[in-house]
Amino acid sequence: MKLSNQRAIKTISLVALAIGAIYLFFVYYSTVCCLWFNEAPDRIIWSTTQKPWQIAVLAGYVLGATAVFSLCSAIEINILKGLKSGNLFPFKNFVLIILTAIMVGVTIFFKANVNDVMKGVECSVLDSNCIFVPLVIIVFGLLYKQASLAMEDSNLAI
Amino acid sequence: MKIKNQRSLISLCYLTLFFCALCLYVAAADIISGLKGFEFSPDPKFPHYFIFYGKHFFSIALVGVLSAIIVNTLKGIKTNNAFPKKNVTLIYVLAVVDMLMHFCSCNWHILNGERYISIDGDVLITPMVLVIFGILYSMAHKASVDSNLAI
Repeated sequence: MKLSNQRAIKTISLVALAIGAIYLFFVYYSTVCCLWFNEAPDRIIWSTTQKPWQIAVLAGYVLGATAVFSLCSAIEINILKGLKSGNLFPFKNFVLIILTAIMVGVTIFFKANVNDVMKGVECSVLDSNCIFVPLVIIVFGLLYKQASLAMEDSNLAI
Repeated sequence: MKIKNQRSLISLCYLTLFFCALCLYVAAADIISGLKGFEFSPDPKFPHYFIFYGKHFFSIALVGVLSAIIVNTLKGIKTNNAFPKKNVTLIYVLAVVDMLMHFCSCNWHILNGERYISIDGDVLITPMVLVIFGILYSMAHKASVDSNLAI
């Protein structure tokens, strides 16, 4: 593998992880603000009929974002480890990519609903991205699996 | 290529293409309704036009580039080359288009007279993930070529 490619993967992975961490921090911060700070402009308005759903959506959004970040971190750490050991496509990443696809779908669903639910709006939307984005990630995951198999073949041939 | 993996890849590719067609239809309907009902502020400038037309154009371009990648993959599977080289460039193009589309989407408030520019997490993270995927894809292409040569 070219040294420049290796460096590019490392740098971009670390920058993406750093931005993801900042984004996750922002999610936690805005959740804390909307729950406990009375002065916050987007403070949650509790509905009498929908309170369990509001809690579920808010918790789902925060947990989903955390899960997606954790899974992405695990995938990138595996790739970085693989770069060191010369195995660019570790097979265990395939399972992680499929899990990420599922969690991304769930998180997009909660993200699409969280703003309305916090204002007490009594309707839920199913964003088309809830299905489309996970589907694309699964296709990329299958290609990754294929690459992993091709790499094994290539190593065996050598 | 394992037959099972190949079959699931092909069926998922077709499913994704179907969703791409659906998204194109929604984007076209969005443009038609948006152009009919939308009125720019009295003194529209370049950023206003860029955000308004950019959001529509880039969302269509995103679906188009994604469809091209899927079609290339399907063609490649038939010719026993699951990682066609032309897809590497398309993945980088997809990253740029995705970034521009998210940028236009998250700055829609400019059309309502707001003067600040916001950058969402999606504007940066998704393109970076796509660039990493592009680099890995180019590596996979090389490995696939090596593997075929060895066979």
